[in-house]
Amino acid sequence: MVLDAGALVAVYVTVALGLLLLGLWSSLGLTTKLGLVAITTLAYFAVYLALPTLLGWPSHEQIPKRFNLLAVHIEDPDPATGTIGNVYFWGADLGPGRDRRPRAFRLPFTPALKATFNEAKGKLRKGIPQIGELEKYDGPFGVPTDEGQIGQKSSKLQIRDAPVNLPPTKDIPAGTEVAP
Amino acid sequence: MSSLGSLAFYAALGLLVLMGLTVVFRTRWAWWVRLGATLVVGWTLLTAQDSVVALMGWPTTDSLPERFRLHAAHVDEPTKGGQVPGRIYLWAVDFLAPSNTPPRAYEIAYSATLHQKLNDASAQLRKNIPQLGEIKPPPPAASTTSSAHASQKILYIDFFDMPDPLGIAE
Repeated sequence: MVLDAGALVAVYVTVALGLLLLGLWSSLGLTTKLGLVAITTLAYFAVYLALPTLLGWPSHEQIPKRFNLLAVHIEDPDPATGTIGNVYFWGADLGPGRDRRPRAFRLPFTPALKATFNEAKGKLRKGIPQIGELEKYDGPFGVPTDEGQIGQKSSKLQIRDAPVNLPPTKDIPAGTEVAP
Repeated sequence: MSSLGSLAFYAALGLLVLMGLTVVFRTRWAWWVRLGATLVVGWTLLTAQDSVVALMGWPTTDSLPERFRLHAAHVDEPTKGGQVPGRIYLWAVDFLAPSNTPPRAYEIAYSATLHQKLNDASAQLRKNIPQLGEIKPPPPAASTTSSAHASQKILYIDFFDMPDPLGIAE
């Protein structure tokens, strides 16, 4: 289960309410009560300061079913360092009612995925907007050899040229120019 | 996920657990209140990690590195009346970060000057010429109008062509 921002706020309000009840209705000593208020305040500040440092980094969450691909960064596997490799991409969800801000994603490296994204990257450089589409896949391919990939769903990703009737992207690499 | 952010996040969860333990073991409240507190804390612990993952990937308003390698940019221009302020999104890597550091998404305030500079930098990126972004101090006249909030502050950034020492620009 995943909480959105509103639910997270609700959790913090609940914690504050619990603290209030502890302060008003419990038989705890004054020192304990003050200590609880202090650590809860510290916890709130810690989360407030921690959240911006957590944001911005690529997510390994399920990628959108349809997205406008903006940029690609590929990290090849390196047997010398034991790096398994990743494919990072930056895209904007095109689903109805979704947040249109670009979001960064990380996918485990596979040669096929690298080829797909490299081709799309080449087209982006030529100013051809690219659309990624995730095709439904119901069954698992098998047991992944990498422990970190256990539980990830298999699905087929296709990236194609954006249809002509797509609204023009405001992505700069796709070729918009500003009038002087 | 940055290690400092993770540390602070898990420290906060630890404090929440401490508070739950206090309710359960240091109070004489009814059993159902203590059971409820245990359930709330347990449920929060189970969902917190997934919830943070759901927040990841979205652009941060954290400060941009002083020098960074630009991977891509995306601009939402302001509306004509100015009701909706524009935003600029950058996908960039700290110039001083280790080579295997993935790009991070940043959100900054829109400015027409920066938009123009990003157009130029992006044109260079399309030619496989890596771009170095460098934050410069605001001009004296502009510094007084800067907002305290990072995402509202207009940044002054210059972009430079980066030499590709191995000649293998992506």
